[in-house]
Amino acid sequence: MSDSPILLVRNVARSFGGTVVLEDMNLVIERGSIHAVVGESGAGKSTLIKVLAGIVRPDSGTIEFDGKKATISSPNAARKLGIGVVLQQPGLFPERPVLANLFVNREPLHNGLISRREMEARSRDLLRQLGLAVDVRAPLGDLGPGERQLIAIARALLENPRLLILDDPHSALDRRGTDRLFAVLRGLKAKGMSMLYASNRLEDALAIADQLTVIRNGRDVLSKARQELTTSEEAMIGQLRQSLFPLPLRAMPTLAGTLRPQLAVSGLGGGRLNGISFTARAGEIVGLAGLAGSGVSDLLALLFGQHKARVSRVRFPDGDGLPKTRTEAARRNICMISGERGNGLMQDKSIAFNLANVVVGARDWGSRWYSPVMAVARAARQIEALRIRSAPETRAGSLSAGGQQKVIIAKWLEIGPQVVLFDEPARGIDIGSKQEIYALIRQMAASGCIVLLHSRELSELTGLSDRILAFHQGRLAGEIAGPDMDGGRLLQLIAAGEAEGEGRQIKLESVA
Amino acid sequence: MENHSLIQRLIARPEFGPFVLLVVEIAVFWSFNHDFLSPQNISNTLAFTVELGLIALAMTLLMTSGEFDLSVGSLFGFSPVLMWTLFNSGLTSLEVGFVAALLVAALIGLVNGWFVTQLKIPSFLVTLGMLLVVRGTALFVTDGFPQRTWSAEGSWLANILVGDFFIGPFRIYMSLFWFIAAAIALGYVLTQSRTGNWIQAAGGNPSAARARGVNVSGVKIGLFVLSSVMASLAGVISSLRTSAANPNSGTGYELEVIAMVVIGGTALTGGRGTIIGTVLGILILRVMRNGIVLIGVPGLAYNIFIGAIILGMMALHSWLERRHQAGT
Repeated sequence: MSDSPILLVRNVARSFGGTVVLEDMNLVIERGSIHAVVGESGAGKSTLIKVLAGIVRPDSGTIEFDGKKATISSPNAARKLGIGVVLQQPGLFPERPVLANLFVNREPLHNGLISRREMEARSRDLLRQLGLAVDVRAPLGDLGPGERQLIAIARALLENPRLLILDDPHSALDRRGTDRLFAVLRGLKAKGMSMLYASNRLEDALAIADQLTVIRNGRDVLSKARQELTTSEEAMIGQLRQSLFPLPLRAMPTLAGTLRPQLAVSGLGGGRLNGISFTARAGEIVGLAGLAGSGVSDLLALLFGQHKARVSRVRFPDGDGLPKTRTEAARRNICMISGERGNGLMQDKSIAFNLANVVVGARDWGSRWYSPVMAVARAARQIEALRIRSAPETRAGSLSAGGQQKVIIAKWLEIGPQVVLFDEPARGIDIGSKQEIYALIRQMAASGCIVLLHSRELSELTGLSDRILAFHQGRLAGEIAGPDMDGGRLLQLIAAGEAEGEGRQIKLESVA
Repeated sequence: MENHSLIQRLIARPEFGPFVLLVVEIAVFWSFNHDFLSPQNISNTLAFTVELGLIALAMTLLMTSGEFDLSVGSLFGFSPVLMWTLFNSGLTSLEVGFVAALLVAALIGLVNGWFVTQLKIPSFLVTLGMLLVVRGTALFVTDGFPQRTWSAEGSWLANILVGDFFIGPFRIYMSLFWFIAAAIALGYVLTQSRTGNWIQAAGGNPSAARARGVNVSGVKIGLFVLSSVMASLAGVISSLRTSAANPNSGTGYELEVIAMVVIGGTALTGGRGTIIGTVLGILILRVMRNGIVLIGVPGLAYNIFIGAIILGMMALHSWLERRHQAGT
């Protein structure tokens, strides 16, 4: 009995609409071990975890927990089994105090009233272990993203789960936070807790895991103990990830040596950012790497006119400075494509309407008035070009995530973008569309756009960018290009703000 | 971080703004007309204040959970009409009529809650519809005429709810104690009980609350019932005190109550609420209404001041919010 695995997942499948997310998933987690699940986002990790958390019901397949067959029909059912889950979006309450967040609906009562003293006593040691020195009575919203992530983990640990599931827990953590988290996880393992650790950072997964399962396209493709993993297999896992990215297209030769239009940023400050300087030239893809709170999203917001800058010394290729509003940005052919769909799309309108002149707001399209005929013709052209695979009259909201993202890209292509800002353009998109979108990004660069690409997935950055700027706590921590460009070094830059050896120099140069 | 002085911590509280406003308001009115703080005027102001206040207390909890209720004003008019109609027709005693009115109100709250949580219709539309249904029923039942109410004199129900007595020169109604008791009880519920945490969780992040096993729909339905019952109770209290049951009474109270709650610092979007703030908000608006008349501004100009206060307080809140965020 005690030898049987704590969790056994067999042939689990799940599809949403027409998209198969989990096809044939198998997973065995041994008692008292840390099991890492790695795979690109879109491979099915998050869905697998939601199945185990009781948020998503599988279409078929069986799950055994603690040797017994289990149906996890609700989050409460998962909790009763002893499964504690920290999701990517951990579901916290930013307006409420930290303590209230830790004990939502599990508040210890004293004579029918909530006992703050007991809550503090119960959480104090745990918070200290996690290295959290925060005022537990302050609102959670006052904390940084890394601290919030640790609070979410602490909340799950407070329930003493037998199996702890972490979905990409370090996406908001810096190096020290990750180290501390690993120390805590190892301590818990020593006490006999089993853990499932999902990640798309192979390096981290290898550092902590006893066993490793690689998943791809909703299937488990490799499952092994950490020690048995050979170097060639490690390399193979790495390659699986690289194959997603198209080969770089040659930039237009006419542009190569001559005066290329460029975006020059010198000493930009605003939001969390201070003294940022770099140039991006037409035809190249400049990656922007940084953890949540590092200021990368501030940079994109500044360049797109969403926030005001404190110090703005920026020169766009058209000779002007920062746009003051988003409308101005669009008028000046600066566009932003974000992974948060919905803010770029009218869900309940047709594809054609979403691409129409009145919506896109471009000039010089002949008429100021909405013309359905023109809109449909334009939509048909873009649908053909981007392979959106729907009729122009289809409601935009009924498309898959990938399809919606393509409509957004099509919309911007129609105005002939000069500067394209990508903010996690492929978040939550299936593998097929992802590849197509990556290819589109390449094409845009090759046709003379200045492309800035931000992503939390380092492999996406290293796979697509010509060079990468790393941000750490509002500063440019360094730049890597060419053969230096690998995930490990990049991670070091964004997590600690410096690379080993020459890292300090890079940092100084960028400040100077 | 830890060594904020007591004063700094007081200033940081969301109730601080409304508190200052109330003090300034009272000082200004008093400087214009010293009768403003006379025992008689205070007694008069308090008498009606607590009736609207009862509704505002329940509304605070409801709005913290992310919903609001526009039907309270018409329930305020409908419940006493129902009670007196039952009593006058000889069908029931006054007490049974009272209980029946509260039960009907609870049922109306249940229907509101069911529409909002099960059919997922915004509370604005649901309670707007209910407002018209309830007001229409009150008018139809009475043909638009006020009900006879003079026969309640000396009934124990009337004594318990609105019996009056003098403390020194102050004429105090029993309803004041009901209000204080309700404020303390609901204040405790909101901040110290698990139910209160459910309410705040349901308003702050409903899906996260559900993922933690909070019965969000149940909480909201319960609060709709509470809001309706409190409005009904307030209506009955008011009708017993003034010996009137007019089917038109309570028109426009819903908006005044919501104004009281938001001025006190409760977020219209849910997730954050304060009973102390609401009590201050209630006093601010009622003192304003009373004081304006007393210093000789035409009573019809009252709404101008109320509107200005709401706009001013909202501007202050958003300014503080932005300053807070820029500081982190």
